[in-house]
Amino acid sequence: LLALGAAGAVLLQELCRFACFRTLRKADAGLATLSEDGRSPISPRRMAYVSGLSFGLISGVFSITNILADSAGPGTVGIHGDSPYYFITSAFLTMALVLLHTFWGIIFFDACERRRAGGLALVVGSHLLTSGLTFLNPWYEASLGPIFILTLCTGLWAFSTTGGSFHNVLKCLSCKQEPEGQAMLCSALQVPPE
Amino acid sequence: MITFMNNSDSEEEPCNERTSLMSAESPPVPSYQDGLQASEAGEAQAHRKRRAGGSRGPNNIATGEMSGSGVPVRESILENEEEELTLKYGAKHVIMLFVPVTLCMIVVVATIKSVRFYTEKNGQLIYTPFSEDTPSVGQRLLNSVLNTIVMISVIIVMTVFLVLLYKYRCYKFIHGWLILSSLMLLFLFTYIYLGEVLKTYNVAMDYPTLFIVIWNFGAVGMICIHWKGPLQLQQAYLIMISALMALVFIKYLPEWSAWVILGAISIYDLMAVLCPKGPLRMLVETAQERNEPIFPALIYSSAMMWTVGMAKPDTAARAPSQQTWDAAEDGREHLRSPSHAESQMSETRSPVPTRPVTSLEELEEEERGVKLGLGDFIFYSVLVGKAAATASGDWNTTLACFVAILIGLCLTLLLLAVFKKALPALPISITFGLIFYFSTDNLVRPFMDTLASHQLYI
Repeated sequence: LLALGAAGAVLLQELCRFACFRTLRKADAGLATLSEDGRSPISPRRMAYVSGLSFGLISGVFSITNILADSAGPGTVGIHGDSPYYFITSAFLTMALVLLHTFWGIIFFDACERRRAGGLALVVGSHLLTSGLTFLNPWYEASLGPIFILTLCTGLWAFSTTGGSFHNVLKCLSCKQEPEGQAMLCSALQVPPE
Repeated sequence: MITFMNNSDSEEEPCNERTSLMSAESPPVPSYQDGLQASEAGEAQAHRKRRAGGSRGPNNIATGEMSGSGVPVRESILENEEEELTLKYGAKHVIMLFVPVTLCMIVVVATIKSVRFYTEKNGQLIYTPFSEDTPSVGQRLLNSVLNTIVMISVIIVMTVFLVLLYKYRCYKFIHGWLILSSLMLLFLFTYIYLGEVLKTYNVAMDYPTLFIVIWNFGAVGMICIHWKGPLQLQQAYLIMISALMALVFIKYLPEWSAWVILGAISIYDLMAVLCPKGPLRMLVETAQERNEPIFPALIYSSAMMWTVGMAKPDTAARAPSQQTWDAAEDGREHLRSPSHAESQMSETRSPVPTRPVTSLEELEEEERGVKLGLGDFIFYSVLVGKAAATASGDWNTTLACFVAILIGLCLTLLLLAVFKKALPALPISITFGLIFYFSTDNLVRPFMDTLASHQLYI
């Protein structure tokens, strides 16, 4: 029954993410019409990132605050036979979940914008998979390991969704000198704002 | 630029709660409609100047017209641009209010969680005469409703009394009252708070040191709040005072009464600020008619405003604690600007046409700030503090209430930007806070507890 509840909660979260997407799009359209040049001040990618990050933050905070509060008090971890690594694994799991939510936010918004159901299904599926993996929990090799691998893959996928690639990274790392020259050029041409 | 003004305060004895957000168009509050437009245009102008490269035709025309006569203004163009600016700068104002509200809540929650004194039941205030130690649920509910009725009536009576005092110009009485109440708050409550904190951490302190500490704290507080002082210090004192007041409420209000009172206060706030015959609205209108600053009692401001000179006789009235009296636009005037003392903007005296010109220069050098009444701070902190004290789910409920209040504040500021007039700050936030508290405590908490005990994550 708990599994059902957890699955329901996951689906509710994804539904809320979708509702967030719709609301933010409407607000964005409003902002765009009000701005000077007709473009909204926030790019859709930034919006996706912020939305994912906020989902992740709230999820992480709700997961870990009670545990942190308990860890400050007296007690022995795992005295009734549970795993003594409860705190550290909770910490790592929470971190993975925060990162995952951020990446899911980016992928989800991008998939919604391009109307690709595949992306949506993959996000929902991987969320359900993550939640399901935590059900194996005292067996940490089976749950923590795959979850971290999943986090890494989702991160790479989100990175490539926003247009990043291996070549971009290399270019960014190797041409640190060029942008400055361009900046100087630009400032010569324009009056700096304010 | 919209500065929001809020009227709200709460106090222990005469609990006048007037919480409202008000948008103050520009520092000078002219009594003419034209002047209002002109000053709005002035603000719009200043903002436009600050914007990077945003000059347009209408701007220049408007500028020309403004410096020319000041009164005839292209209202429609300026209004549109005003709206744009409103929404653009609205986000900054929201953040400027988030920080102090969060700080106040953090202080309250930290105290509640660590100092046992504020969660112990030690009697009740006389404003809540009915006890809640009754065997049956119905009786307890009835008692809490009766307590609420008593409390709200006290608040209404005190509010009306203050409005009458203000109407009949008994300023000295009001000033004295405000000073007395801030004295009590800064000295007596701080002494009690410090005593309890020292007891909790088992720190020994001798009386001479205690006397020196409390004397300094209180004296600097009185000066900062009622007269002049660095802005950040004043903000810190206002936050401390709101937190102290909220702690008193959390301690002395019985459980169910506290929740019912929170709900009733937000309804009262809604009505007092929006109804045509509401006391707060009448106060604001009276102040506007007389074109003078109402007591900037208990207004938290997040940025400096000029008008140091003009507010002199009224700065004494800046008692940030008890009376919830907020004059709408005039409250702004009492926010001191440390560096721009030369701004001789006497809002009430100078003629209207010259104002926009000076306001342009002034505005360029300052930031518009947002103002929120201290009563709002107090009741937000009461809600979050009660959630921290009594919720069995502990931190999840507290966090949920905190997020709910911030969302409500955000929405209220948005509405303020849209409506541009005095708005109550309590209703939306408190409603969300109450909904989130009860739903998180009863629905979410058992679920999250079970998940955490099996280390499941959703």
